[in-house]
Amino acid sequence: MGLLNYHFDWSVLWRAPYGQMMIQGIFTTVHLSLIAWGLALVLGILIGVLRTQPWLPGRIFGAAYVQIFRNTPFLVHLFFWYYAAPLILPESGQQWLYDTVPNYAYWAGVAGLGMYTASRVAEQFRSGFSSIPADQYRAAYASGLRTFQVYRWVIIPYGFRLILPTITTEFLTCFKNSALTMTIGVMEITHTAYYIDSFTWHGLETTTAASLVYLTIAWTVIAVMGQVEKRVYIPGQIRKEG
Amino acid sequence: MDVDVIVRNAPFIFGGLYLTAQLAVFAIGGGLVLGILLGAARLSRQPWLYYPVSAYVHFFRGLPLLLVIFWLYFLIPVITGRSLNEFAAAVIAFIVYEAAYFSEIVRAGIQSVSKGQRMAGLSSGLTGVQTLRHVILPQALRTMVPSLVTHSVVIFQDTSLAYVIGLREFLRRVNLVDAREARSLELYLFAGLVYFILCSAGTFTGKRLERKNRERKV
Amino acid sequence: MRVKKRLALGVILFLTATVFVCSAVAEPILEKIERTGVVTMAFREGSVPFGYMNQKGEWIGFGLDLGYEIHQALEQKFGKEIELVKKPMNPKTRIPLVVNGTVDIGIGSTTITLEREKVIDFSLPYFLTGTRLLVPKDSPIKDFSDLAEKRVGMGSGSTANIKGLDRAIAQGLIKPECQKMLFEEHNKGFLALQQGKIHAYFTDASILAGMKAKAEKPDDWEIAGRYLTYEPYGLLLPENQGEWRDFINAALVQIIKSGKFMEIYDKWFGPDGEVPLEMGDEYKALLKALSFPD
Repeated sequence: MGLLNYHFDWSVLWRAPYGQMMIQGIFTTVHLSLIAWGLALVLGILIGVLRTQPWLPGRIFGAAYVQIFRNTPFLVHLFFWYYAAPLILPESGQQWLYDTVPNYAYWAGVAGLGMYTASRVAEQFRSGFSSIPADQYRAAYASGLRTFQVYRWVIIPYGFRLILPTITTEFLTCFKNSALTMTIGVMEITHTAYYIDSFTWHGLETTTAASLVYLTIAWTVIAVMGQVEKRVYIPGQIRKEG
Repeated sequence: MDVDVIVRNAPFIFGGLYLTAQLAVFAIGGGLVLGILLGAARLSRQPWLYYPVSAYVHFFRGLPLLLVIFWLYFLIPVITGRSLNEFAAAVIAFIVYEAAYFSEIVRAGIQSVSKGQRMAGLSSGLTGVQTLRHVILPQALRTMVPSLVTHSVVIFQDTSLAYVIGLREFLRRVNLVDAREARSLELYLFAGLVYFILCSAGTFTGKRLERKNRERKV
Repeated sequence: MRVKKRLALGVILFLTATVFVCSAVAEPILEKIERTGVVTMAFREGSVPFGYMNQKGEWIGFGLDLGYEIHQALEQKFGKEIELVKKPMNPKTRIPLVVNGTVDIGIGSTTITLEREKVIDFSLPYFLTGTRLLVPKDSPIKDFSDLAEKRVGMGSGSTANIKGLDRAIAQGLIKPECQKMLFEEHNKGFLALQQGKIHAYFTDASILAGMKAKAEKPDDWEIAGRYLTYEPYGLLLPENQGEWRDFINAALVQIIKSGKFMEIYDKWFGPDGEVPLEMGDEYKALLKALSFPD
């Protein structure tokens, strides 16, 4: 063996039925990560707010959430959602779940990835919120806004702009972590590359293609977000280099 | 709930922690060493050093770790014609991948040391590398400790990915027992708990180191 | 802009450097075994009774016993002790492991297919079975035609099975078609079947018998349907290793002729074995045909 004896056959990337599978795999990776990301943002902001607001039980809940998720591997969460979580339901409930959600693995993946990423997003928001000068809070309260309004109109938009670079990194982590959903059978691009390999033994080609997909998307996101950061950065803040 | 399934299989499952620990030690140790080299190289003014290393870091930061493990285990042997056992493949994958992340932490740490320190080192007759080794790095490493510990905990969790190439580490063993005994709820809650305890211990140590650092600085 | 260009150049250089690692020529396996004193065999980990972990965490099975016989034949041939290294394989990893040269031989429950023959070699067929379905007792699924619109599990690397089912769908046997769910190992598929995630699991009858036998309550499960396809198993061997293959085939014939093979078969599939599975007439004839004279 060796590369010299390896017969490249790049046509596995487009010839039927594999071409269709590759495209579908790319789409699955993209929409799975995007839906999970949406979930992560909403939950993450919520928990970030919980951790910085004055109500104690809320703060405790937020801290516990972050601690639990940060100290357990993502794979365990994925397995939990796929294998274990449905067992909490009674048997008829489980049956109903599998019948109404035919693609259960996909949604287990979304739930696992979203909730896991949320803990990381929450930490970013918390540090963002707490780096906002206290004067901002006071000024907002003084102008007659209530707590919800203070967060909605002042703190969250402000915090968002502060932590945009790290949020981009978290998105990329979420996007890359989506590959792990293959362990519960989701046909995203890594799994597809691997699956086609078991029929054709041209995993070298399919995995190269999958790698390029990840790199292209990651680098595009970094480039675009770099532009966005320039636009929304808050005057007077020290800008992060490179 | 049937806790018995855990008791019954405890020796088998906990046996996997040894492999998990081995993987983590190699990955963190090797990743850190390579990461320091890469981090220093990224601050180098030499273009032949800066550009390839930057490319390396961007390359690995754009890929999922899982894919890198596949590359090493399944595809590098196809390319080189030589096989790689799964432990070596996993360890190398962890090292090359995590080094890219460590290098970013190291770079930020080095940048946090004031420029005056470097100049002082150079003007006292040390070479650039000596200044880095004896003046900058010792100070930088101290400020990096919290991030390094945090990332080490992440790597400890990442070792569970070795599961995909058949290494019987902790999580894979839990998975194998589950497939036989069908006690998913108990087993995965238990797995989560074990990781939680171990990682919390790591995080806690990191926090203490951080506090000690701060006291020393004051 | 210049920075980006250089960065791109760096990436390209880095990639080419990784690709052009030197390539080595494979050494004949028999010579390698004699030189190093080590033979590497891959076995299944979650396929009862071909290779699996028992309650005590021991790795046992029909395939492992067969492997031990081959190991013995090797020690006899070289007249010295040979170390046996065991590696796990699953339906997805088994072909790459052999192609890469990570293992010298793979012993599992792998169907000989012409497509697989393109990248690896097979030994003589030593096992014969066919594909059926595992369903819960009292399931409305009695045969393949009942699978319409149901969720059916199968091994994601069991390409022979997958193609067999695809053919059945294409021929209109299952209408409207069923939903295929893939699992990396059969034991995970059975877990999904127990949890109700799938309605039926589809694979070789020999493996289904193992799943049923090892279930908490074997009587709760039923093997349904007639053989959809025939599945002759072979040992997985690397390509272009003629001497190694000759050795394995000769060892296999000797094991069959000496009666050792039936002994192992009975241990695992006999009436009092781990997974009772009656040996069909076709299979008996196959073994007779394999009893080549010396």
